[in-house]
Amino acid sequence: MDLISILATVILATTIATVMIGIAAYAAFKLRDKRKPGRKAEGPNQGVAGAQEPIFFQRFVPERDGDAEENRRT
Amino acid sequence: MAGNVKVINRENVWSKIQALEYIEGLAMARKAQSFLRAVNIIPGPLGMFRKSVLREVGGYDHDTFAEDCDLTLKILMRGWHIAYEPNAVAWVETPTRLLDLLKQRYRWTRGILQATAKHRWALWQPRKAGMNCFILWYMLFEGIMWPISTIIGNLFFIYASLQFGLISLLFYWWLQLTILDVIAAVYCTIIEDEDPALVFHATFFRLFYINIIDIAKVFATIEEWRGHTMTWGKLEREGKL
Repeated sequence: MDLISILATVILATTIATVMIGIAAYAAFKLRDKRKPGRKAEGPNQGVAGAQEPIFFQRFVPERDGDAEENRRT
Repeated sequence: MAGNVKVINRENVWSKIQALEYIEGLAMARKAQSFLRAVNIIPGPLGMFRKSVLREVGGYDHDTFAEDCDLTLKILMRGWHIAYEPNAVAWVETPTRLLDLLKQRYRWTRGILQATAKHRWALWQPRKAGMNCFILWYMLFEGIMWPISTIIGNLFFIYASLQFGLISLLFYWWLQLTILDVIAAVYCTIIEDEDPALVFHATFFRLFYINIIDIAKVFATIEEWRGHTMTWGKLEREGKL
């Protein structure tokens, strides 16, 4: 048996194995997902469909050097 | 603006392959899309927006499982351009276990299909949609056609090997794809100034990783097509950041 044949056999075996593992892993993932307890409500927007007003962070304005020094003195 | 997402927890073969996948499949793809100012997904971990644009498109919707992709498509459909900034880096934790990885890819696949479906008019109106028509077809190709063709190719070569003894065909097919993967990995790791050891994982990528992921993608596509219900679930984080 030459090198190419050996390598080809390895690739064939690996390909068949990975196809089977892929199907089994997907089935396992779905099974695990089904067995998990139902999700709890985590917030007011949980599960609400449709467009909503975007929520933005508040802008952070750092204290100026002079202000910080003044605060320390007082 | 879309940022550059990189994997921080490179601790086992799954996360190392993903680290390479992020460099090749996300960073380089976005760099190419950025030439056309048409990046198709501003990644959830790092994006920068004009506030006025977010207000114009209505922010994040709640009716898909890939809200970053949906928001990006809404921005593109309004005629805005999106660029990629490779120096803006976000380090993220990726799944280190197979079932967690499949859960993530399942959500990505169905979410992208949902987002694409919301803008499906652009698929059939190339004159009106312009570049966005191409982007949507590209996303469908990547999400549906590519995984299906990988699986069909594998099954065909397995059949040809077992039925007609043409085992070398499978090997040469695998070899040419792996050589392409390795060349792409070398190029991308150099360009991204990444760990050269990641190139080694390009072989594993072709050997088993992409087969398993593509099977999950095809099942996810079938479930989306059949309208199965799905939930966000929760991706287990290990707090490695």
